[in-house]
Amino acid sequence: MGTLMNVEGVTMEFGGLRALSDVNIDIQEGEIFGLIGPNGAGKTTLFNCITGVYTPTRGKVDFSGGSITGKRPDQIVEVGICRTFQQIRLFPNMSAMENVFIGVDARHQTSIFGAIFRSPRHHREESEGEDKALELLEYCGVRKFANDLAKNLSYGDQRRLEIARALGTKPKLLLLDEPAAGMNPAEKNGLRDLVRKIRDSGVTVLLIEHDMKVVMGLSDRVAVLDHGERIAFGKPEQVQKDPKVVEAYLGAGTGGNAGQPPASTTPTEPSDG
Amino acid sequence: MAMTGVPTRKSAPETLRSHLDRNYPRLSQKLPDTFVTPANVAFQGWRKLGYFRYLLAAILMATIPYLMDNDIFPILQGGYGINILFTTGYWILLTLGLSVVVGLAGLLDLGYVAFFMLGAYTTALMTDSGSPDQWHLVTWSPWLVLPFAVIMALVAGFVLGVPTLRLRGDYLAIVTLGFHEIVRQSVNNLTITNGSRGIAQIPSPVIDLPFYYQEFGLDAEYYWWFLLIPAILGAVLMIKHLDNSRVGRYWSAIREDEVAASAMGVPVTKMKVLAFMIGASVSGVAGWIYAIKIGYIAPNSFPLLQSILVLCAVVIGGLGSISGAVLGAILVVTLPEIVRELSGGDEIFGFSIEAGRIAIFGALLILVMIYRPGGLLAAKRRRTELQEAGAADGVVVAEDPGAHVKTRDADLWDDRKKGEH
Repeated sequence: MGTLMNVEGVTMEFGGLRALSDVNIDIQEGEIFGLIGPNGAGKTTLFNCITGVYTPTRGKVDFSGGSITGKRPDQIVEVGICRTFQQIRLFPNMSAMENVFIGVDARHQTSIFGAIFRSPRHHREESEGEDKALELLEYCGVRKFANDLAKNLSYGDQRRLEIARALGTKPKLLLLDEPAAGMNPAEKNGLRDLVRKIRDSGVTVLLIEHDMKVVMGLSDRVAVLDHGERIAFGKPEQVQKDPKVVEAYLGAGTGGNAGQPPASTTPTEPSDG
Repeated sequence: MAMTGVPTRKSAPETLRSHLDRNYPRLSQKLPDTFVTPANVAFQGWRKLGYFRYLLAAILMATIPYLMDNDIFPILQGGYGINILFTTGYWILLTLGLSVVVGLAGLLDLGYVAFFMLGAYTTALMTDSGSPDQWHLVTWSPWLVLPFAVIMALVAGFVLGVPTLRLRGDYLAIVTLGFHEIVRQSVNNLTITNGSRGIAQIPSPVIDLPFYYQEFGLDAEYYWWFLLIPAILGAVLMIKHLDNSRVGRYWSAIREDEVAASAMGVPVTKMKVLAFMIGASVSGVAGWIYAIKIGYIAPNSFPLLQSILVLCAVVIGGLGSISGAVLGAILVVTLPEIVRELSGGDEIFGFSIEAGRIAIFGALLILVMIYRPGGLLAAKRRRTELQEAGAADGVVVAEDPGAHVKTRDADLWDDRKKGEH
């Protein structure tokens, strides 16, 4: 097991505002890595820096041996990183099947000429892609919605569909941005099992999550961001006890109560957006 | 040959009933089995024909000029009818091309006729046309020039697309509007294009085979239509194939949510430029046919209004729908002629037909947008988009595409905003 991704000194500034400052994180192959922090801590900004939505102001991101800093989002999918979104961003008027097909298409080669002249590769990839998409829908437990429009699925199923779509791109590293947000306890349990199953199939997972039960129960290691800085890093048990983490979550003044882990999300803005 | 949508491809073969249920549910409810069951034989038979359908369609289209030559509508006899047919034909090419850009890829292009203009001018400058200064690049046969007219349009699509397709929505519309005027003003002022006087005497093509000789021209009007048939069917086939493929899925993904598409590995800018180039190439073919048929082109043959009218036709017909694009073109060309016929002159309510047709289409567009917002023959996906918009299903649904984009962009910048307080 080696290092899959290395985030080194990533700083992201928007004008005068520093959303991330000098963040270092390494992701090991085959682990579930949790990224937590209060609202506005910069977690999603870090995701955006990794997936090419933003180019970091300073610092670099290495992925399985090569630099991916400053690459376009589609190039980053090509090297094997794919993500889901905090606010679900499926293709709402396409069927669940087609949504996953778009992900699967990322690994296809059919060119525009192949499509116009119906090359053998086009036919092969259409048929294989369809099988693959159905398989992934099954894997994520949304097979029965294959022909339904994505927007007609329930919230929890949409989250699962987003994961299926991301898995279609055959990622080595899957970035999940608050996958459990808005789910009921039963759905959360199911999601936990799904994430474990994905990890066991050999895909490394980087997870942003607010629900402490989910993140602490799942993660092998955790990093805590606050105001764009990494304030803690390590095993979930250690991080939970870290006074800085407790302070970031509960505010100064209660910081002395280090024995009590942050129970759940911040009380003011539970869903982060 | 599977022409149906992706999800049903591996299920049982489609029947007329299942096709109607999927695409026209309300119509399907009204139609009794006594009608649908026998019609199903023809439907499935037609599907089984595969590519032979195109051959059949070509034969049917080829009979149109002969059918028009009847005594029921004597007005259509002779040059008038065939001229309308020709105009409809090249308009169909224009609407088909634009429907790729606007309907499939979702890019608002208000300067589409610029590519048509470039195709026509390329043809004029590369054939033995009668521009007084004899500013010809080469003087080739019109047949040889066709690929160059297409290449010129493709290159223009690329050159316009690469820098501008990073823009979205309204901004892209303004840039393309400007592009049309740039091209028009350029040909209006350049010496090589003979300025506003335009280029005349563009030669007609000649079929000169050992066993067959035919000149295109005024005394063989039908042949221009025969030239359009393969162009139209080729464009239809190309667009259908693109739509039902990886490329088509990518385009709809971009239309639905550009940010999500790029996060799923869709090379967004590349796919948009491709859509522009595909649309432009169809337009280039139309420009070629227009130039050699009319024989005279000038900047005034390509007013900005034409770009708008093509877009109008595509929207009235139904964005993203091939049959809609064809219907839109037919309406735009034939409605003013029908009005001319009914009003018995070149004027209606004191306006000229030419000016009046803009008013007609303005009104028609408003009516279509109110009563059939997806267009007269709406594409399936557009219809679902519109049907379910505003339905209280607890999921974010785009009622106003613009607002949709706005919130999505805002969401991307979430972290930035949060950091500010």
